[in-house]
Amino acid sequence: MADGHNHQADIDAYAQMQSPIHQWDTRWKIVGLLGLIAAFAMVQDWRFMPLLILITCLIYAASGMPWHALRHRLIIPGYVVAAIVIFLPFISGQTVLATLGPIIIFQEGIALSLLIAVRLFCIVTLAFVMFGTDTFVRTILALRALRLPDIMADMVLLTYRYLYEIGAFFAQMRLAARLRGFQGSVFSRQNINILASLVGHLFIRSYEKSERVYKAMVLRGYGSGGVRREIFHSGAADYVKTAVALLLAISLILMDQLL
Amino acid sequence: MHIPDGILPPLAWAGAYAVTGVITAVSLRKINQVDDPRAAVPKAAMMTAAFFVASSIFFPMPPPMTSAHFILSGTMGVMLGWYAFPAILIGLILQAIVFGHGGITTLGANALVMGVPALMVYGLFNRLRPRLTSDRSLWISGFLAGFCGVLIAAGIFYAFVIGTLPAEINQQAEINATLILILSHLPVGVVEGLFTAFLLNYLRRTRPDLIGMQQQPVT
Amino acid sequence: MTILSIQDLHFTYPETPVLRGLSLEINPGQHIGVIGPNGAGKTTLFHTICGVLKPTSGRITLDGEPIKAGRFHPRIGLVFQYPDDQLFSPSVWDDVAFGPLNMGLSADSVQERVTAALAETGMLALKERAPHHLSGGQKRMVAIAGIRAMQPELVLYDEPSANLDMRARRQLIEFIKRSAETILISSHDLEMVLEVSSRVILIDDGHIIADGDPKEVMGNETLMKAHGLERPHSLRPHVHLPDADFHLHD
Repeated sequence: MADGHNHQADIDAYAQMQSPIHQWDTRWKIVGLLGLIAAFAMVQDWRFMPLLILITCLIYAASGMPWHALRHRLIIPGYVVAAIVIFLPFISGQTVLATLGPIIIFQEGIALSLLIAVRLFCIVTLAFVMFGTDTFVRTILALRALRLPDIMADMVLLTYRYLYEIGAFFAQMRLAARLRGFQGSVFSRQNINILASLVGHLFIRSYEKSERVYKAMVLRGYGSGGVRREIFHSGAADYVKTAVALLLAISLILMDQLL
Repeated sequence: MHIPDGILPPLAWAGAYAVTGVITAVSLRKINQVDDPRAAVPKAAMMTAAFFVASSIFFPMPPPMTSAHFILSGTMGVMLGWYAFPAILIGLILQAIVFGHGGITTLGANALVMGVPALMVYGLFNRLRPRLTSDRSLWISGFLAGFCGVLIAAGIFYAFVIGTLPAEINQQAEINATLILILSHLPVGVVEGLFTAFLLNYLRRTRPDLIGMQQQPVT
Repeated sequence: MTILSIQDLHFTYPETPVLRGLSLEINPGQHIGVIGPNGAGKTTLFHTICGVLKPTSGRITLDGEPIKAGRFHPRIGLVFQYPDDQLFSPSVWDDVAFGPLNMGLSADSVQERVTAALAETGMLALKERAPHHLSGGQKRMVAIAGIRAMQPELVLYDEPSANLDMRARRQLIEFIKRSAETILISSHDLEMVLEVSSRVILIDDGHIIADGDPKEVMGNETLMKAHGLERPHSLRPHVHLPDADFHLHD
């Protein structure tokens, strides 16, 4: 963002494709997939891992999105989880699986590591299906239709709208500073001071911008009531897809509890 | 410092969502008491965007580190007050959907990691503000705002991640590990504290109303 | 017959007087240029006319009805100096529909107005585009469409040709010339003001200094210089050339 590049196209990259998932009404899709995600995040029994992976891969395949796109979504959370999970086989559990000299490897630790890794993979993948098969704006409008408070939806959309401009403005400021000899990668008290001034200036300009945008909104009647455009239409296919997803989710939770 | 999906047990992530929901509702109500609710939307949005950009900056760090992102929770608390919590939540929603950073199930927990320190710093700074007449006092409180913001966030983060691991781990070992990990954030805390101190002084000289202060008479 | 009447308008902020007793009568259909140096009060004047700012004293009426600050007046439109501040919706269509929707119009009516406004400004093909993917000129025209869709009687343009390339500027000038509404244009682009206005008002230091025919007001060198301006090039005698019958070779 601070480099001024427009990253917003990324999530919308595959939004215009055709697939049974793309055609699923956004609101119902979110309900169904969130239900599945919640179920996945509740599963504690590691024996269900293959099932979770299977369901996830089937849904991703149904979406028609390319598999290489998934890689980008998995990298960063993957690293964070790996850093946390790497210790578990050595510290968590009672049943000893193996010993390497003084180091003990616990069975439960390994199972837990695998479970966490699988849960991460499945949740991130399903989330990508949920958000990647619609434009960002449609997703937020669907959330609003699902009772996300208007004020939150409006804020999210406005932030999204101006994120690029504000990022570009900061990139320009930094370039101007660099052209006058500022070396932002060197640590010094003076440099932190300069960066504080740059960021302070960014905040002031953003605040002033908000006042202008507010005037523009009020001038065209913001807050005077009025109706919003109805853009979502659902049919039988949507209800069926969501019902299947939710049934799957509930079954998973029950099976996990009972077995 | 975002908690990814898959790590937390259901009680933790669901409970965090509930608490975040309550704090968000309280924040929105507090905002509506002070501001025209219509004005709140563009103000929160622009500042959220600005903080989003600021949090993606690589700040130089003393060796052996090279650079780090700042958490900015302390700064948000001082500048945004009750707006800080919704702003953080919006930032997290954007990050999760557009960039896939953070987590979906852990949105509530991550909001607490960053939002609670912001509100705590706000509460403290609010009380101290009338007494911050000298440059030095503002400098010190700015440093503390940045520093405490980082450490409290780290504390909540590790409390979630380590505290919710299965109970087979030794309780004492957990606490020790948590403390060591929090201390590892000291360098960033100090540099962010420095940054925040400079920032607040800059704002007092230019737009003191953005930190809730009056224009200083020119001497 | 007056459409807009301003009587003894004062605006002071916070301690500084910005508008010092301005009075003005505007007739329907007029295209009026508002010129003056920076800090003269042009933008403040525009903001009080639309009701964004509350005057310290004085009266503004549109068709006889007083303008109340803070209220929604769809019969007056303001095109901002920086269209970026004005295009806050996720798509071009949504932004142009914003005003009509807030006016409480039916879905069909909104559809009609938005389509018409986009067609008039030549932006119909871009209706699903996100605003930050538009060029400066395109943003300007979409902002105008957003005002047009409310079908205002009076439109105020604040520095409309700033940052436009020649082509976009020409498009804008032709658009304004074709417009049937009553228009007030504040601009430093004096050549444009000369082309589109039937009347020019010179404002400085919160007062109206001159009000009249564009060629007379803007051609008065002493007057223009005295208020931080210059005569536009085409009104300087030695530069004015006849269009036709100009032969270079024998």
